[in-house]
Amino acid sequence: MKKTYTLAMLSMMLAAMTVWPQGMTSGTSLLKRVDSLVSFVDTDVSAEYRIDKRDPGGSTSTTVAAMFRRDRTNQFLILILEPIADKGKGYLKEGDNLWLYDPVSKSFTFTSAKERFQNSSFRNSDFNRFNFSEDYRISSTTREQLGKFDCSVLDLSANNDRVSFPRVKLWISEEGLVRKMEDYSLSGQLMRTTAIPSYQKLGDRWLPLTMVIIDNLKFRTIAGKIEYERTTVTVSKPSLKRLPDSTYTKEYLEKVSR
Amino acid sequence: MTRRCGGLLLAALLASLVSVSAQDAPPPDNVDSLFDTPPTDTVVVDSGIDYRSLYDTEEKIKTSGYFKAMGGAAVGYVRWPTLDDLGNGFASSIGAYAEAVAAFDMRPSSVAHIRGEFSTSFTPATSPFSWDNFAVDELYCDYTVQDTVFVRIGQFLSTWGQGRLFTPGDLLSDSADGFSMRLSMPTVLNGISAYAFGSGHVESYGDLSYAAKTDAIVLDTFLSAALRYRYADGYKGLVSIKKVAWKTDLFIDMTGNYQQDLGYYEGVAGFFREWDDLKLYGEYYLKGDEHGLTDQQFGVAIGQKNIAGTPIDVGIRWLHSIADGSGTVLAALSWNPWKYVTASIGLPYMYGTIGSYYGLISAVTNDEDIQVQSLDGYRFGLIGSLLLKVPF
Repeated sequence: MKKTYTLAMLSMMLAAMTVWPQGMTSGTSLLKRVDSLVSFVDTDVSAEYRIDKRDPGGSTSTTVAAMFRRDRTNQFLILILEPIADKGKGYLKEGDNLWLYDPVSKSFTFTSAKERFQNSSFRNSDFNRFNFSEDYRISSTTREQLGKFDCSVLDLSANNDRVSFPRVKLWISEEGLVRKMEDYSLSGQLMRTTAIPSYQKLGDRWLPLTMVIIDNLKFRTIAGKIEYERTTVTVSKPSLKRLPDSTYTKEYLEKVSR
Repeated sequence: MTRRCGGLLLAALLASLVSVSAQDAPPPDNVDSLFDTPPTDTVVVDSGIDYRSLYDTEEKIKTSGYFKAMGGAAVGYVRWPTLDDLGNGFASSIGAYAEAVAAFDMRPSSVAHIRGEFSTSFTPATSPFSWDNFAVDELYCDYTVQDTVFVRIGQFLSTWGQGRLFTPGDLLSDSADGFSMRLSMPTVLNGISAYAFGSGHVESYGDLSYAAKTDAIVLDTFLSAALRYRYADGYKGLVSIKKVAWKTDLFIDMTGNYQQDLGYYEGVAGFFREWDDLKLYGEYYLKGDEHGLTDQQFGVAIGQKNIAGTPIDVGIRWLHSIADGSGTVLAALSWNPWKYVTASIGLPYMYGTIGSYYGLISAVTNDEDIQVQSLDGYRFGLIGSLLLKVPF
C-alpha cells in the first residue's frame, strides 16, 4: 500500500514538473508580450488624462492632465490642466525618480516616496508603461472567464522593491492586454483593483481607453452598503508627436507653470 | 492643560490612522460586471496634438490674484506663572492683517514668457489704514534658446537645498528681493545652472553674488554640487545627496563657508515619508568650525489632512536645540468650513531658559504686536485665527 502511495506521489510530481515549467515559460513570454504591446519605444506619446475620483459617500473631484511619455528613456512629464487652481503644477519622472514642482513655493521636490496622483487611487507609476516581465516573476497561472474575455490569470511576485505592490494578479485577454489587475500587500491584503474594459490602438501599440480603480482600503458603510473610493481614468486624444529633449526637464516644468 | 490638549490631538490623530486597519476587510467591490458588455477596443488615429501649446501659447496673457484678510486672538503666558501669582506673565492680544496680490502672465511666443506679481498690505495695529505698502514680489522674463538654453532675467525666487525645517543649503535665500540672471542647460547631466544676482545694497559688480549648481542622478541617487561667491561673503559650497529607501526620502545637505582664512560648516540630514494624507519628516542640523561643534538642533513634524474624512487638518512640529536645551512644540489645527474661509487654532509651547535659542523672543520683547504675530512669543497659550482668501 505504501509502495503504491509513493508511486502515485512520484507520478504526480513528475506530471507537475512537466506541465509547470511550460506554464511558466508561456506565462513569461505572455508577460513580455503584454509589456511590448503598451510600450511606445520608437516615439513619444502624449494624451489627455481625465481622472474622476468618487469618495465613499459620494463627493467627487476631477483632475485633467496632459501626459508626455518617452518609453525608450523611461521618462514622463505630467502637467495639470484642471482644476484651474492646480494648472501648471507638474510631475517629471526619470527612471524611478520623481520631481514635483510647486508653482506657489517655486520649488522642486525630488522623491520616489509620493505615490498617489492628486490624492486619487491612480498612482504616479500608473502613467508608466507596464514592465511586468522585468519587475515580477510568475507564481502561478490559470485560466478564467472574465465577462466576455477568456483570460489567462497570472499571480506575480515582485523581484525588486521599486514597484508599488509586492504581489499582483493579472487577467490577460487573448489579445495580450491586461483587463483586470489586483494589487496585494506582502501579507496578502487586497489593496487595489483595476479594471481596463477597453483599449485604443494607436499605430501598432495600445493605450487604455478607460480604467476603473477601486481602492480596497478606503471604504465606508453607507445605508448598509459598503462603498469604496472609486477612480475612473479616461485617456483621450493620444498623439505620437515627437517632442524635444527639453520637454522632459525641470526647466520646462518651471517655464510652463502659472 | 496644553500638554493635555496636545495629548488629545495626538490621540485623535492616532485613532484616525488606525481606524481603517481596525475594521474587518469587507468584500471587494465587484468590477467584473464592467466586462460583460464592455465598449469595443478601438483603433484611433494619431491626433497630432502638441499638448505643449496648451501651456506655451494658448493663453497669450492671463491675470490672476487674490485678496486675503486675517483676524486673530491669542491668550497665554509669555513667562511661566508662579503659584502665588497666576496672573504673572499672562498676556492676551488681538490682531488683523490684509493683503491684496495681483499677477500677470504673458506668453508672446513658445520661447518667451514674462511674469509679474505685485502686492500691497496693511496691519491695522501697526500701520495707517491705507494700502500704501506696495511691493514687487516678482517680475521676470524667460527666454529659451534652441530648446537647450533657458534664460531668466529679473526678480524671482529660487530655492536650493533640501531641508524643510533647517535650510543651510539654500545658498540663494537672499536672492528673491534683488535683480537676478539665471542661465540653465537642462539637458546636460540632470541640469546645470549659473546665477548672478544682487542682494542688499548693490553699487558695483563687486557687490554681486555669483553661483553655479549641477545635478546628476547616479545609481538612483540624486547628487548635487553648488558654489556661490561674493566678495564680501567669500565662498559657500553645497553638496547634496538624496536617496529613496523603503519608500522614504533620505537626504543630506553639507555646506562649507570660507572667507579670509575663517571657515565654518553646516549640515542637515533628514527624512521624509508620505502616506495618503499623512506626512512625516524629521531633520538634524549641526554647525561647527575649527574648534568643533557650535550648534546642534533637531526637528520633527507630522501632518494629517482630512482627519477621519472631515475637512480638518492637524499638524504638530517640535524643534529642539541640543546645545542649550530649549525648544518649541506647536500643535495646530485648521478647518475649512466654507469655500475661501479657513479657521485655525494653534497651541504653542516653549521651553528653555530666557535668552536660550528658542527662548530669545520672550527675553527681548513684551511688544504685543510681535506677540500677536509670533506664536513663539508665548511660553504656552492658545491662538485662534480666521482667514478669508478670495481669488480673482
